[in-house]
Amino acid sequence: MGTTASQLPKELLSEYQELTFLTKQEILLAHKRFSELAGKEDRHHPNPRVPMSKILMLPELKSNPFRERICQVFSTSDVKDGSLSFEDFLDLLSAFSDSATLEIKSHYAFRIFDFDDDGTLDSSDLEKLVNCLTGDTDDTRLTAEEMRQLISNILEESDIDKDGTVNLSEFQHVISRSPDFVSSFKIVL
Amino acid sequence: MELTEFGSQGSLTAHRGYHGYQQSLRARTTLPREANNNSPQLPSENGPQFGWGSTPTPEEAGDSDKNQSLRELPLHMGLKRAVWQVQKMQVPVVSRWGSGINKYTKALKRFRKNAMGILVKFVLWRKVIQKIGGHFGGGVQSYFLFLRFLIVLNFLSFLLIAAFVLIPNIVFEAQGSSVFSRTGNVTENTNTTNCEGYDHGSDTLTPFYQYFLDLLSGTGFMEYSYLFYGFYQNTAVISNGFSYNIPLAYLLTAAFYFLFCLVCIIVSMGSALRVITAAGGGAVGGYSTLVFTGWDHGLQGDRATKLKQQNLRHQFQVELEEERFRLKAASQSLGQTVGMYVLRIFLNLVVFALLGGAFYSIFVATRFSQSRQEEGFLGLLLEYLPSIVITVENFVVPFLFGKITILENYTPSVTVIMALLRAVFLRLVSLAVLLYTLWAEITCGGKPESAECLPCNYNYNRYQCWETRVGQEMYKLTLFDLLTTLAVLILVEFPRRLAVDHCSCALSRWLGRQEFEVPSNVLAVVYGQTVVWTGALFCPLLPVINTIKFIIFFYCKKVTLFQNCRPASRTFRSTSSNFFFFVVLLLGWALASVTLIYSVAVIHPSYGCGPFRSLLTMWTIVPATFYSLPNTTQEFLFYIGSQKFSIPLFLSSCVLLCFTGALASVYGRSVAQLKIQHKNEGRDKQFLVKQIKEMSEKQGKIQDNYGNRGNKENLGNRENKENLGNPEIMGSHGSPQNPENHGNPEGQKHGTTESQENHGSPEIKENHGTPENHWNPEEQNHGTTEKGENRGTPENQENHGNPEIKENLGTQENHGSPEKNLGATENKEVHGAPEEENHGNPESKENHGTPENQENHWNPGNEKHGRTENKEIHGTPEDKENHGDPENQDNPQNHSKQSRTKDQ
Repeated sequence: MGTTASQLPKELLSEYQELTFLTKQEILLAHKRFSELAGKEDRHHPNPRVPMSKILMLPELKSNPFRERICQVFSTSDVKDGSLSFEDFLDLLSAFSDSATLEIKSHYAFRIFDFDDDGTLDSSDLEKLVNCLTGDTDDTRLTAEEMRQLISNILEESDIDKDGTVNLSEFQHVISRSPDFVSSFKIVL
Repeated sequence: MELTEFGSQGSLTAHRGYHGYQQSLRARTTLPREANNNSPQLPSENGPQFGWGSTPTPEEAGDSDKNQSLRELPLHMGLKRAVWQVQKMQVPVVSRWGSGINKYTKALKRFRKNAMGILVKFVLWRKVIQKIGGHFGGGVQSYFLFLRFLIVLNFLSFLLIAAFVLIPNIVFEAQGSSVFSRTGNVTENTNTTNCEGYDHGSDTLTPFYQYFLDLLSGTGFMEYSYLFYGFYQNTAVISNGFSYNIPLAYLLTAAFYFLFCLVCIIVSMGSALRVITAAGGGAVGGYSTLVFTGWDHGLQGDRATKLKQQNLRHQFQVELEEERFRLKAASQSLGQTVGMYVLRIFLNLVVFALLGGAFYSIFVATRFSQSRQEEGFLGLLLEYLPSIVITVENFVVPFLFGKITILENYTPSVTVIMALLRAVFLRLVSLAVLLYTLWAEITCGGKPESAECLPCNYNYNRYQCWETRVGQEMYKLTLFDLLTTLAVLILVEFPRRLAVDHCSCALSRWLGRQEFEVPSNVLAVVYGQTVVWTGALFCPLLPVINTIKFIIFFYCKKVTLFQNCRPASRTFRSTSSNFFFFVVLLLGWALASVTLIYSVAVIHPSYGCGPFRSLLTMWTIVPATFYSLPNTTQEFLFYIGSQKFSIPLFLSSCVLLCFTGALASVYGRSVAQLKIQHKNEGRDKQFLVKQIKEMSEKQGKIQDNYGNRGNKENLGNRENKENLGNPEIMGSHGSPQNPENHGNPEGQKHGTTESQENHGSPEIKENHGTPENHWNPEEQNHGTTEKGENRGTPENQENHGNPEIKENLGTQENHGSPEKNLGATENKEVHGAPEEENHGNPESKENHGTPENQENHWNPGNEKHGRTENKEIHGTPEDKENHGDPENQDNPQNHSKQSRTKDQ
């Protein structure tokens, strides 16, 4: 697809504009940043993938506790190593952009939080999620008792069908009540 | 059309487990299916249908939003591009006129988007505010947004005042007095001549430092300038039919200024309220919202992340503690409850005592500073005494309130609100006390008949031009507020940060970095704005001073935020806080407007200065001007003011109010009902899903019975069933010339099958659930293969001999799951199952029954062979024709060979 060329072909650019929430400038910036990450060795490869370790070097993602999940969710790699192609990268930025809808943001948020990729948030997912939020070291974690109380409260509130897990529609139901979500689920290069 | 298949099929399979999107996608694909559903009724030989001939019509309706909706699909780029290309292919079907319109609307949309993009660049401090939001979260950002709102408001107010008061005044002054006519002395009172002197003392020689002191206190050269009320003339220009009455303009501008601010506040408040209403008042509890939406992905840098995590942990702990607190409170004994209430009442008394003491000290300080006249620095200190007292109290008292509210044992969220409300009360009432003191001094305690006030209706001896004096007070408050902010920044905040960063002693560690407390900062800004409103009538340039002050504030706060602060340990929710800010601002506005109305309508204006000199009250100018209007205008205005007009107006506005109220309550009720419905719908969905699960488990058991001898082959089964059951396939086989038609039903078939499977059996979910599976190149082959195979009409029989396709078929078989291969090897036993399925399916029987489809019948059979190539199938009566077809018999052998090689 020739995305490693220093300039994006015009038709490809307009295609990306059609398919993402990004503006022209944002796509070009993303391309610039991505080419920097991809480095020289991959320049001749038609559709380079940048390994997750390099993506995580981006200052925008570097300190995000969900960075690895984000890469895994947006990666289309066959071997599930979390590596991103340029288009995956655009997908990521599009979902996290200013103008993306609540619907798509909540969808991806759900998948990011679904640590075991089973389509529901169960209590182990929630525990990991809370640990990401509070910091995953011994002195920053909540105590076991607090964690238990917190998870049972979450399930009490948002698990409408009482099956012990939070599914996507229940998740979106919660999200739709929180107008702050759209502004906080945002990564801008 | 291969791409349609590719796209829709892929999108359906890609996100197994995310129901919502499947539904939306299914909705997208049902349209062509419906169009095709009619196809079996058409004689297939003479009616070759074009799937795309009929489908675009319904699709066209949704064309305008297509790209938008495509963007909103949670698919990765490859899929979106595929869907998009298919959509692009359909565009030429639109008529020329339609496409012209399309092009036009597209261009318009692009233009609008570009224009918006450019406009966004002009938004004040967009980048800065975004950065602040990124580093410190929405609460702090909302403070800066609020500050920006006030800056813009002040600047617009300044423009208003400049256009109608300042510039006319300057112009008329420059023109000379030729066109001037003083507004008539309405009160021809000979007693007041000794009240008309106004000595503003600007002509005396002053030492240099005096300029500086004057600048700070608004006296000396500042006093008699455009800055203050006293300088403005009571002139009216009447020449060549143009008349401009400066006093009237002055008054009306002030009135419009207040109205304008009110409208701005109300509008912003409305939008803030709408957000809160949309949030549903937090019916879904706090924990899930906090956990699911708590992280701000815009945060950058380790420090910010750590702080945010700390912050969130704190919040969780507080919330949980609050819950435990509630539980404890519920189980409290009567004695404890009584004790707690006694404590609270006592502490409230303490709070009132503190407030009373604070107000009294302001009162005393104001009186003291007004009664003494000193020169030099001491004079300046005296001038500033009220401002100093107010500022100091605003530092000390809220701090004490904070400590007291902790003792009161409220839940943490109530604690914050209580502390805030008390701080608001302190701020605004201390300003009110200052104003009261001034009023008492000016009007001799509201007794104009007392000795001091008798000659001039106000205390002329002390206040030759009292309006200017009030303006000076407000000017000083504004300036002092700015100076203290700067001083605190330089003398307190920076040293504190340096101490914390470079000194490791216990004190500095205990202090820690300063927190940016949104509520107290907002209160400071609201207080400043209230002062400006109060002073605007007496000091017309105060809004522009305030604009500059707030701009300085903005940069100072930004600097201190990035240099000195850490995010507050308790976050302030930006949605609800926005509304709260505006409520407080409205309170300030109300206080200021009471002052304005009182001073316009009741107090006698100064005799010696200002545009209203020689009038009884400021308001007198309005009736005076009114009577100079032409008769018809007068009558018209009288009519508007009369009962004839006002009573119907009042009644109709009452009716409107009732109507709006009723409407609001109806909406409220329907919102409540929708909420209930929403909940029920969720339950319904869960119930249906449960039922489907049960049914599919039953089905699974039956299949297990068949499959226990060998291995059941889920995918094969289902696809077979679908092929027979799906009427479109029969129809489309009848039209060999139409490969496109094929693509569509295929895609749909996959869609339906697989989404059913998804709901149905969990085992399949595992097989297909990972989106990656479906997006291998093999999947594409899969599509092609089927097409090739289905096109196995007599003309295309050679295709079956084509090794490529066989290969593809082989891949496809492998592709599904390891069990598939097993199924292929042990196919003899397995094939009871597909047979059973096929026969059991009423739809397939129907299809077989239609005469048109009879000759096509070999085809599904053929496909069945392609997949399962079992011998028993041939024994069934429907498949008799298959045997009759010589090429067809070739096929199974080919395929079985193929699968055998694969298995090896």
